[in-house]
This record gives sequence, C-alpha cells and structure tokens, in this order.
Amino acid sequence: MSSSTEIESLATGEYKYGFITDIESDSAPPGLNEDIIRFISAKKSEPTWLLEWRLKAYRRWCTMVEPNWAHVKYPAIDYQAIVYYSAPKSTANGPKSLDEVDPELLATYEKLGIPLHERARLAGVAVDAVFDSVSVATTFKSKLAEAGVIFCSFSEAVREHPDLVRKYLGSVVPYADNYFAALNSAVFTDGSFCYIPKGVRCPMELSTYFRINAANTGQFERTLIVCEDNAHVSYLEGCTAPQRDENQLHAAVVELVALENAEIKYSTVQNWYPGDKEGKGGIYNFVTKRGACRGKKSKISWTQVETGSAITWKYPSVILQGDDSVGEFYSVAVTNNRQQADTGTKMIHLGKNTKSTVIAKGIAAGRSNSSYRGLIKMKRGAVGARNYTQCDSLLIGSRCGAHTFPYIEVEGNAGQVEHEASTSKVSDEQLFYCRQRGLDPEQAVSLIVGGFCREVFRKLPMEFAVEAQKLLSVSLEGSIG
Amino acid sequence: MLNIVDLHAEVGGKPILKGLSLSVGAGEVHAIMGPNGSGKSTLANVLSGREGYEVTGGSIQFLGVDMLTLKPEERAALGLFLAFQYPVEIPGVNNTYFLKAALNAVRKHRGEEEIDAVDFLALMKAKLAALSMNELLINRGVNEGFSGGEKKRNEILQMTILEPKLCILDEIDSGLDIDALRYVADGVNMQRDGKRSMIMVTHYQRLLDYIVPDYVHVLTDGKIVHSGGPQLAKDLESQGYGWLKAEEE
Amino acid sequence: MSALKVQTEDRFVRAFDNLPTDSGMIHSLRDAGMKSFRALGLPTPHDEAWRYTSLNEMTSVADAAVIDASGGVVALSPPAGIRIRPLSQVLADDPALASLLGSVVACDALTALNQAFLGDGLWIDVPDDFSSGKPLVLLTTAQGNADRHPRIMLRMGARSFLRIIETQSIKNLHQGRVCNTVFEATLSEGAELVHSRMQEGGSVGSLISRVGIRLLRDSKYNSFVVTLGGAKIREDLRVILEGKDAHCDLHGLTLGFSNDHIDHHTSVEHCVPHTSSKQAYRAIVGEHATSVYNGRIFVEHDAQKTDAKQSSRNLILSQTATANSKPELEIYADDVKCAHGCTVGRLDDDAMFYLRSRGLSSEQAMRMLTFAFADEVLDADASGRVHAWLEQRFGVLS
Repeated sequence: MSSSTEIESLATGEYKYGFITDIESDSAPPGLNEDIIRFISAKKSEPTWLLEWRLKAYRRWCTMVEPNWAHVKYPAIDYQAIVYYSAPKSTANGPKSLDEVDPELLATYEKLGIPLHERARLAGVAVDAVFDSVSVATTFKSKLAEAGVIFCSFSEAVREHPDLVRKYLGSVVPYADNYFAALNSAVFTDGSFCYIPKGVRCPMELSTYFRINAANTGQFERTLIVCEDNAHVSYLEGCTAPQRDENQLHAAVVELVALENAEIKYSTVQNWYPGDKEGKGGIYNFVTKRGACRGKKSKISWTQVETGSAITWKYPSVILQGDDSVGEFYSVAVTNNRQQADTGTKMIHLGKNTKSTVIAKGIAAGRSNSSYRGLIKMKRGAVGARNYTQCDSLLIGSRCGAHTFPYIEVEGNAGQVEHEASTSKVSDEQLFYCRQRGLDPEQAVSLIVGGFCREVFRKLPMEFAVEAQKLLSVSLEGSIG
Repeated sequence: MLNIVDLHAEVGGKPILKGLSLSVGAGEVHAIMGPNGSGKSTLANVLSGREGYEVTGGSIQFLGVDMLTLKPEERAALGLFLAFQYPVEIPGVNNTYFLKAALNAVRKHRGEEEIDAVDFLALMKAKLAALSMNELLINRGVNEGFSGGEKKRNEILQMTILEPKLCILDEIDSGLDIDALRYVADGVNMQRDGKRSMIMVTHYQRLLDYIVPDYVHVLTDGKIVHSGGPQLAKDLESQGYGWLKAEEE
Repeated sequence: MSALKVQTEDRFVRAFDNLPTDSGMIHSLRDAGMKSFRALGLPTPHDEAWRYTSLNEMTSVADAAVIDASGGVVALSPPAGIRIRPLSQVLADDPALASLLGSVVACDALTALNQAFLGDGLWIDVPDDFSSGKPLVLLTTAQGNADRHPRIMLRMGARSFLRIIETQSIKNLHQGRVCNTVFEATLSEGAELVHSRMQEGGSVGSLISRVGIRLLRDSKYNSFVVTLGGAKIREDLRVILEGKDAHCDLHGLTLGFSNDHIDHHTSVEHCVPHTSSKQAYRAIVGEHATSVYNGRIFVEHDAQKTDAKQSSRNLILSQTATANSKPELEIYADDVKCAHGCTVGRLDDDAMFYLRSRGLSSEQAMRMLTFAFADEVLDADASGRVHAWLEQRFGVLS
C-alpha cells in the first residue's frame, strides 16, 4: 500500500506539525501512533515490508497489556509522552570517519571510560556506538569486512543486507512476543547488526555502546547477531545515560541466532542512570534478549553485569533447539538506593543432550530490591538434557530485599535439573578483618562483593571485568555507614 | 610505642576491662596471659577498634597518637596489626589481590607510592620463600577453605608483608598442633627485629616456649594483676592462676 | 461488564441460592463468603499461584447439585481432655469468635467459597499444658454428587501437645464435585502440634485443602502430608511465625500416577526475629501424572536471625509425567540464613544397573529406589501410620 513517495509525503507532512529540531538533535514529537511509525520508517528510508512489520507490531501492541508479574513497582508509564525518535543532528548525514564525530560526543564517551578512539584500537575492540537511537560510528569496519564479517548499524543493515535482515528479524523474538518487544518492533530506531559467515572466527571482540541523551526520549534499539555454521563471535554491550529527573524508557530487543557448531558470547555491562537516592529519575530498562541455538552443538552464552537503571526487567534466554547445544547465563545484578531489578533467564531445552548453566548473583543495598526470576523448561524429547542453576543473594543493610523466583518445569524422565540458592550478608567479621588490614569500609565492601561476584566476572572479557569491578564500587557507594 | 592507662571497656553493657594499664616499648615482646573470660581477647579487639567494644574510660596512646578516636583502618595504617584468633573467610576475594589492596592502603597513608602488580608479586614471592609457604595458597580466596593451620600461616604472611610496628597476636596458638605451632612461631620470631613490638595474648604457656617474651603479664578480671619475666609464665603453668588471686588478697 | 467475576448463572451461586435461609451468625458469614467469592471469581492459570493447576474439573458440570453442608469432617475417639464442638454451636454461643475464621489462611476465592457454604465444622480447643500419647484422628470425606466444604478451627493452649492424624479421602466423589477444606490453628506459647495428613483422590473430583497455622512464641508445628493420587488435588499450607523461637517442619510426599494432578503450595512467613523453618517436599510422578511444588519463604523486614531451609526433590518415572517446582525466597532482612535446593530427574541409571546386576528385576529395582527416594521424608512420619498406609497399598516398601 505505501509506496516510497507516500512515505516521503507523510514524513514531510509530519514536519509541518512541527518536529523539534534544535541544535543537538532531530526529534519526533512525543506520542505514538501509526503516523509516527511511518515517520520513523521514512526517516530511515526503509522498505515497505519493514514498515508493514512495524505496523503489525504496533497494532498488536495496542491490544496487549503491560505485564505486572515482575517483583517491581513503578507508576504507570505514559506512552504518549515519550519521544520515539531522536537523532543527534551532526549524524544526519552520517559521519564518514571518527574525525567527523562531534568532539563533544567523543568527550562524553571518553568521560564514560569508553575510549572510542585510542583504547578501542589498543584493545582490538570494534565499537558501534549508539547515541540516543542512531548509530554514530562503527570502527574497524574494513578489517572486519576482510574476514567477511558484517558489523554495522541496524539501519545500514536494512539498506545493505535486506535479505539477511528479513530472514532473521523477529525469528527469535517475534513482534508479538511480549508487550515491550511489540513496542520495540513498532518503533525501534537503530541498533547493531552482526553477521558472521560460515567457518569464520570473528577476529576481534565486537562492541556496542548505547547512550540515552535527549530528555523524554525512549531508546528502542534492536540488535541482531547471526552466526552461521562453525562461526564464532564475542560481543560486548555497554550502556549509560545521563542524570535526569524524569524516568526514561529503554525497551530493547536482542536476537541471537547460532547455527551448527556456532558460538555466540554476549556480554553486557549495563549502567543506565539508576535515579537518585530518593528514587527520582532513572531508566526503566525493559529488555527482551533471546538467543536460539538452532544448530547442533551450538552455544550461546550471556554474561551480564547490571548496576544501573531504576527498574530492570530482563531475562536473557536461550532456546536450546539443536542437539548437544549449550546455553549459559552468568549474571551480577546490583541494586542500591531505590533501584529494583527483576532479572534472570529462561533456558528452554528442546534438543537432545542440551546443557545449560545458570549462575546468578544478586546484590541488594539501601532500600532496593533485587530479584532473580528464571525458568528452566525441559520439553518431552529433550533426552539427556541437563541444567545446573545457582542463585546467590547478598544483602547489605536491613532495608533492602533479595528474592529468588525459580520456575522449574520438566516434562518426562529424560532430563535433569539441579537448582540451589542461598542468601547471605556481608558479615561484620569480614568487614572488620578488611579494615584491620587497612582498607576503608567502602573499599572493603566492594572487595567482598567483588569476591561474591567472581565467578561471573571471570566470564567477562578482560577490559570489561575491570570496568565491572569499578562500576560495582561506584554503585555501592554510600551503601554502608 | 604503646601506652595504655586505666582502660575501661564494656561489651554489650557488661564491663570487661576494669582499669587496665600497660606500656610497651619499641622492640619489646609482651605476653598477656589469663584465665578464660579475663578480658584478653577484649583487649585485642579494643586495641584494633572493633565495633561493639565500648571504651568507657582511660586512654590508649600509640606512637603518641590518641587511638580511641581512630577507625580500625586508620589504626592499621599507623602500623597496628591484629593476627586474628579466628581469621574469617572471604569467598572469591583472591588472597594476593587482597594483600596488595591492604599494602597499598597502608603505603598510601605513609605517603609512599602504590606498589605495582609486578613489584608486589616479587615481594610476595620473596616473603613466601622466607616463610617456606605453599604458593598455591595465595591464589585462593582469602582463608577460603583453609585449614586452621593454613589460616594462621596466612596471618603471619600478611604480617610479614604489611610490616606493622605493633603486632597483636590473639591466641595465635589456638587449634594448632605442635608442628604447626612451631612453624607459626618461627614466622613470628623472624619478625622480631628489635624495633617491632608484639603483644601475645594466650591462655597457654606452651606458646611462650617457642616465642620467648620479654615480659609476661597476668590479666584477671579486666586488670593486670601481676607482671614479670618469662619465669612467671612457667610458675603459672605449674601453679595455675589461683595463687595470684590469693597473693593479691 | 460486571465488576463481579462470577455470574449468577454459576453453579456455586445457584447452589448458594438453594441453601435454606436462616438467621444468625453462620448465615451472615455465608453471605459475606459468597459476596467475596463472587467478586474474586475462581482463579485461572493466568493467576501466578494457579499457573500449573486449572480448576476446570470443578466447573465441568453445570448443575447446582447438592451442597452437603453437614461439614464432612468427623473426629474419631478424641483423647480425653480436649474439647470438640460443632462450629455452628460455638458461633451461636459466642458470635464474636467468628472474627477468628479466616484470620490465618489466605483469603482467596476458595476460602471464600468454603465460607459461603460453611456447615458444621469442628471447633477444637486444647487446654493449657495438655498432652496425650493418643492422637486425635480426623476423617474428612466427600462422595457422590455433592460438594463439601469442611472447616476446622483449632486453638492450642500454652505448652500443650497434640498429635493429629487426618485422612482426607474423596475417592468416590463424582465428576466436577469438590471437597474444599479449611483448617486453621493458633498455637499459643510453647505449644506443639504434630499434624499428619493422608490425602487420597479419585479419578475425578477435586480436593482443595487450605491449612493455616499461626505460631506464637516457642511453639512448634510439624506437618507431614502424603498425597496419593487424585485427578485434582491442591493444598495451600501457610505458616505464620509470629513469636520468637517458633519453629516449623514441613514434610510432603506426593505420589502421582495415571492422570493425577497434585499441587502443593507452601508459604512460610517469618515475621519476627529468631524463628526457623524447614521444608522438605518429595514428588514421585509416573504415567501421565503432574506434580507441582510452589514453596515460598518470606522473611519480613527486621526478622533477623531467621533460619529457613527448603528442599524440593522430584522423581519422574515416565516420559509422559511432568514435575514443576518453584522454590521461592522473598527476603527483606539481611542477617538471615536462607537456602533452598531443588532437583528434578529420574532414577539413577548406575544404581538401577547395580541392583539388577545383583539379580533384582527391573521392576523390583525401580520400586526399591523409588521408595528409597521417599524414605528421607517418610522418616519424619513419627506415627508410622503413613508408612503402614502406603504398605497397605503398595505392599512391603523395601
């Protein structure tokens, strides 16, 4: 129905209604309706099928209700008050190289400890940086291209590799999967795309940094990673947002596809603004992440360190479809002040001899609540399937909560599940011991908590592990006293 | 070095130390003996500033500084080291990493530069060799899964590396068999350099056969009731604490 | 759409309308029960607590049917010294006591339904310092084409000791009918209750059991529940630890075959410092059976020094059976020791092979290992009755 000219006229038509275009960014007005979706699609010169897909998702979303089963509380979100598209102006034509990237922007990344320029090269990390909703710069593109790896912004992938995108988009997280996934499918503005062809080991760690900058802006990025037979990739994702008094919504979708004998390692360090001590402001982080181990002997591994966000609602999952496939989930979730996290995983065992491991560490301080929620499901026919889950919670102070909500569902006598959980505190003895050796209380707590998280940190790539330990210290600041 | 005058302290509202005075000079080794419940461990904890031990009177001067206003880590930075009776396990925290953090905290306080990882490792190796300690231990979590003897050895290793000015050894002999005791005592004796002072808190004379003190004090009901030379410990061993009380009365 | 979830055409509403009208306390309690039942409506699998258990069986017949309001629970040869009276009589004598009903069990649609059809339940008072070697035997039955809503109130005096052996059987209940029991007890200081329950269902009909226990200082509750089959069995056991040094020990054993569906929910709520709890539930499912265990440990703010343990082990004997387990921790105090463990699996292949290599048949070996799995919990059955009961059905166990 919509031809490109129609889209264009819609887009220009919308302009008349006054899109805010200030010095820094190019934005849509707040609110969500089919016209906004058409506007976003037109802005990105998308093909018709993608617009149709977005609209289907939107219509479905309109019929859905926001989930309320998570152990989190927040005031109702006004979806009509959110800006669904915001792009830094300087990238309207796309930077050709890092030199063209706004130095202010680069300075911001620098401040965040994300050296796009220097350290990235030294560390051999290719970075795709997403500022608000638009991919800013991708480094090392040529080097990757030599290896046959495609690593680019989602918009570029839609333009340059439409067949691949069309084949895999929504194949792991369908647009109607859940409320936030449907919302994302309707309005996603950018994200990363990564494709590793048959037999290729990606020559370097790939990395994306997300940042929400503009006020009242929602971020809805979408990441799609496909590893063909015998391919291998390690992917890092970092997130930050500046301090703002109002809450901001982040509803991302990540889809991973691993074909035969492929391996995807996905690491996240999430440090969205958590709100202030009284719980004012902060990001609502409602994210759907799921990987499909489609091929035999494939492996998907999620590692996450979650220290930010006012609310985290996130369950990186693996569908273990291929025989002998492996799913892993290693997680550290730290909450302080008024933060709330409800996070965990889902391991769905379908194939024979599929294995999954879940190690989740929840740390709650201040008046925060940290919950682990995880599903281990073994379908009939998953002969020889095994899962091992360990969830440990650490409480710091007596006004916080740490919770465990495992769901174990086993059909038939072919699988085996083991689940353990414990709750502990930073003991006075441990604190005193460290202080007697000269460490101040904050150092001591961060050291002890770091020890508690060690099993997960060691799964992170080196630079990330250091960053994670630092973040831990920062987010636990003022948690004792 | 250390000057304790008329110290009174309570635990949970119950008076434990009731006017304890003690003076320790540089390089001296003092043994404090006494029956159970006399206040030996309380003294060690009060000196190191543990919470829950409330000082209700008296003073503690360490190197001319009033200790009572200082936090535990500040006392440690000044050069006070407590070898714990029951060293706590800190799972997941690498022993080497922990020690490096502690040493740097102390060095920072002294105005020295932080030691880097390479130099630290060299230092650690040297000390380990001197103590003929198993290197594998230091790569484990702090005291995690250590036997009683290994925990005490780890305390000695920490002492060796942090180079404190005053060491308080709280029942360092408890739970050790004779070989482990000899080993730990050797480690402590290596630290006696004529400048470093030590306070050994113990219930048994046995330890003093291996670490010979300059002075022996008897602590009863929160006060030092008797002081003397190493011979005093031997008298206690043969006659018990009873005669001291009788003598006092 | 009406705010009420239950419409007037619902069979329970019609059955309620058929009840003889009467004045007095029971009647107003019933009215209030029906009112809240109509507002709440029967739970569906969309309700988190009913995720694995559908109540379709209960609504699979449309006719209002008979409500057997006689209570359906009898006490057999009670030990001398305890006072057992019909609930209706107690409430008639002292209407103020009605406020105690429903104060311990969770107030959901099924408790409301029980109240709507409140009949002559039992009101049991155990005096201070009472103790007897003789157990109180309670028999709850429902059969034929009638629903039953038994209710038991138990008040135990300070330092009293009582053993209850309760059998709940709905073996001959018809399709679509329900036996919906509520048991509430308050244990005063230093009291101890040992509570064994043997539940047996049939190929049709539902057994819904609600147990609520309030524990005051130094009191102890020891629960042992064995569920042997049943098309639809659901128990919600709630223990509220309200006094220092209160302790509860909850054991459960589920045996499900054919198309059995057995669901055990526990909620152990530590409300004050220095309380402890232990839960050990075992489920054995074969053929097309499904088991559910949803165990919750809740530790209130400032309930320091809580010591709570929970273990759920599940043995699946066939390719077509299903086990679901949700061991939950909800903790708001930091100085606590809370842990849970859960396993789901089949019989150990190596152990099976070992026994067979010693000459046992596959069936014998399976039986032996299965009961060994149950043994850990069976050991907690001090009365030995459960053991005897199982042997009666399965032959010698080991």
